[in-house]
Amino acid sequence: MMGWSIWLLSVPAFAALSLAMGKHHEQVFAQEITPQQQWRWRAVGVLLLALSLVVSLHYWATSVAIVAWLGGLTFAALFVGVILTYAPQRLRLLALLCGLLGVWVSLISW
Amino acid sequence: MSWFHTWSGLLLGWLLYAVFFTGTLSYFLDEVNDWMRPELHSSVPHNNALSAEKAIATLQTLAPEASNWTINLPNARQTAVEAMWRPQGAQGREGMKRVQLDAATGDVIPVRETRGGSFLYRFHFELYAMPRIWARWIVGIATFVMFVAIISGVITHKKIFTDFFTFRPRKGQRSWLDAHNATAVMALPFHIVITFSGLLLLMTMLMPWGADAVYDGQGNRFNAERRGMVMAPNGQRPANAQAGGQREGRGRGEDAQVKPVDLAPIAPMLAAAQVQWGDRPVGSINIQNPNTRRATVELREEGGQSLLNRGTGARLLFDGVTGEEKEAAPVRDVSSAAAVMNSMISVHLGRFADPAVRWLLFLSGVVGTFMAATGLVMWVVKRQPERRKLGYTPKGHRLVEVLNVAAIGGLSVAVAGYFWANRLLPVEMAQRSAAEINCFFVIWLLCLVHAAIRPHAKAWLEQMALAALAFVLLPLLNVFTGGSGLWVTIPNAQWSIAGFDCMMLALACVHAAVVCHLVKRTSAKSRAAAASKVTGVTPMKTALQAQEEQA
Repeated sequence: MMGWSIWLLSVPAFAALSLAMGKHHEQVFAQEITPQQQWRWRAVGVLLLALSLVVSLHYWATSVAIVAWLGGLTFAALFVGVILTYAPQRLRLLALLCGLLGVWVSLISW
Repeated sequence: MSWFHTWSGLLLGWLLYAVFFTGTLSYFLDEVNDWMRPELHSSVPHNNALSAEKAIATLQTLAPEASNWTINLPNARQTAVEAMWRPQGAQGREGMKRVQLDAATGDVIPVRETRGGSFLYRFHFELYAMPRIWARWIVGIATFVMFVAIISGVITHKKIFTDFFTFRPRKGQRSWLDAHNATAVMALPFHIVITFSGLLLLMTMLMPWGADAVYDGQGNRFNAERRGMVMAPNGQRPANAQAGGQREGRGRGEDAQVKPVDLAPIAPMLAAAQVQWGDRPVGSINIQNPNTRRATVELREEGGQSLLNRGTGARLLFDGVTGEEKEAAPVRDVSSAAAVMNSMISVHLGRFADPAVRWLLFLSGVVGTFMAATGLVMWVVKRQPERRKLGYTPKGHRLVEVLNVAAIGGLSVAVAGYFWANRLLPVEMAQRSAAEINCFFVIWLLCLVHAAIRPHAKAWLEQMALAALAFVLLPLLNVFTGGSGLWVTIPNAQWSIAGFDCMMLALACVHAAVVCHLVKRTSAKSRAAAASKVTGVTPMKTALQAQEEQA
């Protein structure tokens, strides 16, 4: 169960990081990104990645936790890439859902 | 740098694809081994304490005189009990005798002769039918080049980060490049660790000089120290660290005079382990000097919690006669160098992994396999315009096309064929495991011939379709050749067998998806050809253009 929350939390993290990139920001919001927005999305992304690392470290011993975390990141990034390709308008909703579900799963299995 | 990536990628790509494909399957080595011995499918584990008691009773009749008994209990990756013993005076791994036992009854299950998943596992770093050292050098060099290509690729191809989330479908070469980038960059941690740890596993062969200089060429002493074993300065194991062998043989000699001593029941020991380890189960039982006064029982936890000590779990030691818990030897702390080495190797081997991490490693391997495949296909797609300009296909291009189909499509067909051979060859056949492996290579060779005589697009389509068909039918073949079907294994929680069947269905889906894509492309091509008849453009040209657009 807990294993899923790493992936669930990294999806909004990578969604935020993608929205910090001009190309994808325009794709999703149909407007150009301001430098301020860029830093804000980056901060959100990095914080969420850190959060998923914390969850992983809580669940596994440090060495396994890092492996599991990196593995989760791979598939979260792939997922965000697929969404940006085929349904960019859905990205915000899906990322939000994944994030909420991730927080919920982490809390109930903490 | 780009030319280096292109050409080393092409030449080593075929080999690396095979290494990735068979290596990825090896993350489910135990599952493959269970599936390929359908005799074991009738063993349904319910209660491991009962299985342990039955196994000990069987060993009591099979090998009461042995110096050591080891029992590997069933788990999510193993449906039967594996019992091993070391006869008096036997040394080394070859000295061990091994049988499979039914988990419920403890009866010996005679299994067919097969190399099982171990063949695929060995193939991924030792290839086949050539001296082991050569093969390891070949794979080692390919791994080394891949490691260099990864590091240099990250530095030189800066665009991979600006295109991090970008995939542009239906754009020919562009799409292949995007797919190649995505599978390479997003699984980059996996690729770096798997290649680097692959090199570490071959370390003493690839770069022996450091250890040679320090240890005066005593490689075994270096390895033993690295694994945290104590060695006397002359390279011999000190007497007190010697497991089995003469010391215990002597003990046996004394005891042989007296009546054998009854062993304490195993169930209370397993219960004690459960109290201490909670929901982490006992994986194996090791009984030293059974039926003697100095008998000891060691319980080992299944799996481990950390990578630093090579995934060794907790242990409990009991007196074999009184059943009282004894003080186990303290676990030695690993040095930092050994910890780094161990963590790298453990990730590569994945033996420690709980199901979630094992699946992550497996899927990362699948992504890596895709990376190798897209890279190989891209070499051909990228040269389509050049071919169009020339008006004919250069021999070199055709060779790459043929080898691509055989290396990618052919390997899938051959692996599926290996599993089919496992079930279709007669059980009592002489040298059966060699015959299975021969089937694998003969099928692979036939795929190469097929790729050479068929047009490129047709060869892809036919081999992928054949692979999809062969994979999808395997769960059915399983039922008709003595194995248990999904409807039996899932309710019985025999996850090793059910997992293999599901994995075959998933592989069939992947191959079917490729077939669908190819069919769509071919029909678009024939539409283009039909249209060109009307407009008067040469069909060849439009067909190639359509193919490129669709690719």
